[in-house]
Amino acid sequence: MSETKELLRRGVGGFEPMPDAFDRVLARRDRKRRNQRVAAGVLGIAVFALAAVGFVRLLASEGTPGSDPRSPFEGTWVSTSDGGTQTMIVRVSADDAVEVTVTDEVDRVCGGTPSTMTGTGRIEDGTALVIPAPVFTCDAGSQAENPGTPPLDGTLRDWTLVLDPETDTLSDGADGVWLREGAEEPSPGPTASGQMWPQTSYQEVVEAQELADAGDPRSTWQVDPDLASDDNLYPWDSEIVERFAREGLGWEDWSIGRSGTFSGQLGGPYQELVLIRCAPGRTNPLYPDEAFADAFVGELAGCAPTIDDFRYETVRIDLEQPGLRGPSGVWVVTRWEMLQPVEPRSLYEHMYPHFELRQVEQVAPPSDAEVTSLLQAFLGARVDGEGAERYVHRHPDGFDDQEVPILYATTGGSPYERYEFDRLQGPVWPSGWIEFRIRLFAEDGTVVEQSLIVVRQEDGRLGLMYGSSFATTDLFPTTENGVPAPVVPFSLLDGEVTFAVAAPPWQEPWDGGVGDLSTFMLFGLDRSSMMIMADPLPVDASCEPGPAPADAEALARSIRSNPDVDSTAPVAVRVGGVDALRMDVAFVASETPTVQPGCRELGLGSAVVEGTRHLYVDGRMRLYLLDLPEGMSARILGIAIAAPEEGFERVMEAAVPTLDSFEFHAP
Amino acid sequence: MPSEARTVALDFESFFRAEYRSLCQALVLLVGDAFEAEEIAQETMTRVLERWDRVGAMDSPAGYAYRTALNLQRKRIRRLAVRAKRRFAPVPVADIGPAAGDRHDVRRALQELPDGLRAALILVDWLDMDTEEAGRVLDLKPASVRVRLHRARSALRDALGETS
Repeated sequence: MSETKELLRRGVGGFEPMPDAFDRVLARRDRKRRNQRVAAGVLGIAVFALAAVGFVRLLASEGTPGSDPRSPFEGTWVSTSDGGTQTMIVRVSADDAVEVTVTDEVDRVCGGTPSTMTGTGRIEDGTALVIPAPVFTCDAGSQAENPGTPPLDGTLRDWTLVLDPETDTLSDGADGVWLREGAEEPSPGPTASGQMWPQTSYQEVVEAQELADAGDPRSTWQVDPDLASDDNLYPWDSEIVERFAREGLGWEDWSIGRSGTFSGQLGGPYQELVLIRCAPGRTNPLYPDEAFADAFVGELAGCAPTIDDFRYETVRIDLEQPGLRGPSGVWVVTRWEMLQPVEPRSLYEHMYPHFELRQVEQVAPPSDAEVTSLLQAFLGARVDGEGAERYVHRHPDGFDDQEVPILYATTGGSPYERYEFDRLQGPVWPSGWIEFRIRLFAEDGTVVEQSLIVVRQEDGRLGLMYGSSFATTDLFPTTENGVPAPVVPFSLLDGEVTFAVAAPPWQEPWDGGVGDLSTFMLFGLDRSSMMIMADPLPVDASCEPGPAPADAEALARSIRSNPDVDSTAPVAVRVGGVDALRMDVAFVASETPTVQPGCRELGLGSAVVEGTRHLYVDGRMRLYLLDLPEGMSARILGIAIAAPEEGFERVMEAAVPTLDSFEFHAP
Repeated sequence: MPSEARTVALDFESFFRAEYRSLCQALVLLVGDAFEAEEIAQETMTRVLERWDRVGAMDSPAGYAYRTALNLQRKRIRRLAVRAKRRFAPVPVADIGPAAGDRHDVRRALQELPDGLRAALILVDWLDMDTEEAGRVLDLKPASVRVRLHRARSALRDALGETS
């Protein structure tokens, strides 16, 4: 084993994943599906309404039998989406089934010979035609070949066509769009785009493949085994992209969109590759040096725009092997589109644009004088006690765009009397934001520090956004004398328990919390976490939840009896005006830790089993256990704050404002 | 019917059992935090599961998972936006055992490395990828991976006071 690997092995230590990790993934997937269904349900109502409008129009204009929702699908449909011509006939049979026949004159899957697909389907919600098990055959009897992709049967299963009543088209959810036979193709939008390059039809691709197979250099350059490799993650580094940019678009210099993301499949087809055009030999006029470039887009900051000083020609392309797939097949650009400017939907998008969705545009960084003037005005207003709000950017979406807390006075009510500020980083390409740390000195001697970002708003004016930026500082967005300030109210048990949280540093996890509704979890600075639990249960030796303890003291005794943990004797304290027990617990020190996450925990029930994933053998947890006032819907409240040993005291300091903010409201 | 290429699709649960632990461990080294590492690993595997009909048919579903994990890790940092890096003053850790202290030192040293160096080190020296493979995951040329690797190894040894 290499020396470095041995070092890394020491870094991994005794870490073992949760034993129920697989079940958790399934549950997470199910939770996402539920959320999607909720969203889809809302969308479905809108789609149904549209379909109903279209249906009523049909009734009025064509006299279509009104009781039959399948009628909008009936007829002959044509698609040319993949370069060939496919015809689909949809019939409604007497037994209420829908029969579909699709024919393709030149099917790539059948080596360029015709194909037929048939199936019986059903209408769902009046707008979707689902064919559960289509049967695909090559008319010439040849074997369908589609190497490098999943089996066609699986791909076609539950083939679904969605009706757009407005345009009277069917869409298969991928790229296939079907028009009624005889209907005019929708006119292309103003966007510059194209289909295949360098060939322009499937027949030309077949011919190019023949040339390549014969070793003809006119086409062999289109063969790229690396690109066909299933683990190729760098399709930009290919001759087809190089030539398309130079010959197809006439670009001399370009760069790739942010960190080179794409969709599609490894080994192809590659979709949504983004290139931006750079003015050759020209320094970026707005960002002459890259010192403050964002880590994700730093490589692009040196690219000078070509449209004007702000806008970059931005192209999004798809790469595919339309004919023979694999290391010997020729590659073509099957679709390309010059992206157009699109307004960002949020300040976050403004700061970190989705390059695959819109034309890349850089923003002129604010000058030092502009920034100084803005900060002086903003901070001066805070000292004056009024008018500071108008300088703060508040995007309608509110995403990552929070109110500035303790705007005119400390949490103790002391007004500010002077200020100062330092630049931390920026301007950062492409939106030119700059991050500052400001200090406000209050009359009572309190020092408030905050992180602010100066950003040019959508209307062109400079604005301030509260909070730290990505990967910059170790600083809390707001501190009072170095301690994070509480700003966000939360509640538990339908409002019976309320508390305030400085968020950040305490943040909700990705999926909005863990455990049931009686558990609230927050992640804090570094690796700390805070759990607030109603009626935690002890666990027995087999980690099964035990009977509910009579009170907080009984729960504390149960924890202390756990042989796997060291714990301090409970100390009487008060939380929110209620008597509580405070104790510190940690796993028993061991040279070879064998703690099994999810079990051998601290003697608390499922709520804490979730939370103590965070409590490693090198960490500690401070527990507050208290008996809730009579009449509340839970008997015991547990507050567990876990942190690595090295930062434990600082985390506890950061938790003090939250602990002090607890209030109990008996119904 | 089509596709003789993969008549037997890899079962997701088998893939999960084979790869999850290794993915978690790599992420522990990458993010320095076991809880966060498992969060990212869970989200990664959820996304793989959602796309398993395609990913399972790939030659290297694991490569896809690692790529996804790295992207998620970047996005997570971006999303949290204010994630404070560790800057706690070191305190003696003898009371928690030498193994834990060792782990602390290594993780701390790893976290001091720039992200790009750390990722290259973990992909090559922990996951045994070659530099071409790691380059594909990191969107880097193999030569760039080798440069990062060299720097990362040196920095790690310096930080831990190890001799090369």
